[in-house]
Amino acid sequence: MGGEVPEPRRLSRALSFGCGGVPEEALHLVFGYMDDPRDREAASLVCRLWHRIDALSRKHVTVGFCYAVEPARLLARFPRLESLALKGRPRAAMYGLIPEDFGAYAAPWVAELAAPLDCLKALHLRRMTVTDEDIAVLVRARGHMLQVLKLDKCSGFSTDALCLVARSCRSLRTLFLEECIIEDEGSEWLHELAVNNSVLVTLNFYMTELKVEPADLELLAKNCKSLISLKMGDCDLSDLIGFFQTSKALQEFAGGAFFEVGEYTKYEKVIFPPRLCFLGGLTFMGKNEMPVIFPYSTMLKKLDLQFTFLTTEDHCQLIAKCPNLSVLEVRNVIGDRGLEVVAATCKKLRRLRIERGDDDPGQEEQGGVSQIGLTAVAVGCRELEYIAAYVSDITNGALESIGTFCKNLYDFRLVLLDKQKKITDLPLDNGVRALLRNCVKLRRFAFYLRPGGLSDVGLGYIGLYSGNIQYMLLGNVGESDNGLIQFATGCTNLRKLELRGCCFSERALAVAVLQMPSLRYIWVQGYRASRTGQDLMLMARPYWNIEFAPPIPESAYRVMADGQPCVDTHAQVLAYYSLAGRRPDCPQWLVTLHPASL
Amino acid sequence: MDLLERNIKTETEETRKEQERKEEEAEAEAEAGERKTQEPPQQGQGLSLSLANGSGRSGMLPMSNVSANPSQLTIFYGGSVCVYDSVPPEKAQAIMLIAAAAAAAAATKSSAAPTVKPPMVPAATVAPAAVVSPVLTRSPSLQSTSVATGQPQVVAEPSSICKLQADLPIARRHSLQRFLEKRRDRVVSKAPYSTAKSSDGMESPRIEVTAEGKAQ
Repeated sequence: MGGEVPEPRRLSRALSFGCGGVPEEALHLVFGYMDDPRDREAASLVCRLWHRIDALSRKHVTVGFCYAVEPARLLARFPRLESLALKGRPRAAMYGLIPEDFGAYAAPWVAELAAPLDCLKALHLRRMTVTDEDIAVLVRARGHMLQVLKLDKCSGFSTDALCLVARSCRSLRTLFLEECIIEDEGSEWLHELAVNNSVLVTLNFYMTELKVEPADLELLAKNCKSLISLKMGDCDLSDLIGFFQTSKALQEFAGGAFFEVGEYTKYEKVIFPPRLCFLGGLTFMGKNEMPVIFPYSTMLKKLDLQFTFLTTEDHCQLIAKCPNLSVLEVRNVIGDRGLEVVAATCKKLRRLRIERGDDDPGQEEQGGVSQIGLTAVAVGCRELEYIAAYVSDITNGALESIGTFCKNLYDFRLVLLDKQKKITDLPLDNGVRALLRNCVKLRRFAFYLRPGGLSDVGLGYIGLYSGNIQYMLLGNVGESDNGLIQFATGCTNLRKLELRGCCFSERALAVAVLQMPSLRYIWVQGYRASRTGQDLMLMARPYWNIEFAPPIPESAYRVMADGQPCVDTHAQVLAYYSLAGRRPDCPQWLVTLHPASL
Repeated sequence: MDLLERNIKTETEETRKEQERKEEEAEAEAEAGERKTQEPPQQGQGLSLSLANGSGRSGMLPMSNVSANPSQLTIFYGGSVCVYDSVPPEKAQAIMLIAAAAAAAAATKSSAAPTVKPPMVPAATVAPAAVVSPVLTRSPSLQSTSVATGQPQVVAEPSSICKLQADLPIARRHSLQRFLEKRRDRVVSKAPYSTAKSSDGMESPRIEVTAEGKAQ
């Protein structure tokens, strides 16, 4: 009798411990430290409990393509989101290659999610079609809670919607409208923002063509002591003197213009705020206006000179005074000589973007950027994480130098311009191999050449050494279908692929898609297209949408987002994983390929 | 003996050509007037013609053995007609190429100086018979036609290259495109920029000097 009593107690304790394992509260805490979406994804597959805890504790989701999932499904899966990012039109829309009526409407998302997502504070839409009504729905549902609104390269709305945002979203800290196409119904929206908001930190309507009143900017600076970043359109810099005097905390400024070129006396009174470390815009700034920023040059960490009137020599003179630059954006008028100055001066440079100009006045005779400048920068700026360059000439050696010296490179994009007939060193097979083998941190890679720029062997190297690259854009690469197959065989981690101007057949594209296990999105233009896209059906599989834009006769008229004619009539293929099935809002010119349609 | 005769004949032909050209240059009008008749004005030419005929006939037998398939060469030049026997195809082709080059040069000259009258275009054809017919007088136009045909071919290549490049142009971002358009408008309309541009122009010699300095 006495011996039996201890046994029941032991059993009781074991049972009580066995009922749940780690408490739910503890799991919540652990999940809170998991930030990487892929780690989250893996953890949610462990068991139902972990799946539910992930769902309840997930704060941010990025939907890489707005047609990949339905809004209702996202809501059911992650009901407590605080931040949501959505991407719409293919990236090619930035270059005028996607017609405006492609779709990517924000309406279904706003209608479905704005009200039910009780915790939503931040919304980021990129390359989507957003209407005034969409913004009205959003404001009515979340106006009081919204802290971050980013409309990035969106189109379809007007300043009337911005007025509504300004009046109703008093907690807004970030309003980001960069490169949006906005119907300008007047500048009242900025006045409303200045009057109603007192916590704004970032305001960005850079490259939007919106006109504003300097007095409203001064009012904004007076009421929002926290304003750190302002990026705006072209407004004469002499009209911003009052704003600069008022905004003591400002660290980033982009925009403004020097409309009265040649009259330096007008601009010498411009005094930037004392903490300024980012300058951009400065449209039409030339040699005579450059001294305006000399007093701040040693403090500058970011400099954007894409819209200036500087010659190669001017670039050399200015950059030699900026030893602390982390970010530099220029046009190729900087030339190789300018890049040599960058290499000698900017030892902390992390991001470098060299855009393509257009026969700039003041560009040196040989013009543009080549392997000389790239090599100098690779050797001199070894902290570089991002390089995007339009070059006139290139060699394998330059790419090898980048591989040798830029170990931290995370994002590399190269475009070989087509004006110069003779390129020093093609194909670039060995150079690209060296770069990819050595830059092991690379996640994004773009390589846009010309026919003959990369052989099938080189394309095979890209696949073989793709490592952890998740996004690629390849233009005019390879010689045959075999090259594409070799490439695809090596790409184990590639998730998103864009191809342009290549010679591959539909069959090869289909085979390649099936060979890349991580691929979830592919956009192709300039391939050996058939009239109906029938061989693309070879890539059909569950949850895989295939959309085909047939070649367009020259007579057809289509417009881009900003009203200009679509410059491109070549066939396009867009294929992607989707839980939502076929798009309900396909435009007439887009054919959805489906096994049932055979 | 046959080889020697051929060499002599070749030299004779070349000498005759040079003489004819010089005569034409010196006395164009007189020469044209004189040579309206088919009879050669000089005994020398008569002698050379007969010699050619004689040597040709004597050489026919050994040439046929070599199987070079020689034939008659008829040259129309400066209003006169010259007929040559037993001319190898290679030599005939070479002569025609030289004539075509001369014709092209003449065409260039005429285009350079339109007021100057263009000289007669030499026409060289391999004819099976020595019969003079009106059809042969159209050879000059055929020559000029072939020359004209050559020119478009040269021009066609760059145009096709441009077309290939234009098929899929490297696209440009909207924002940069808009800036470049504004810049063009500004360059065209604004006087102050031209002032700045001229100052840039003045600056370029300095740049060159600097470059030279670096080179040194």
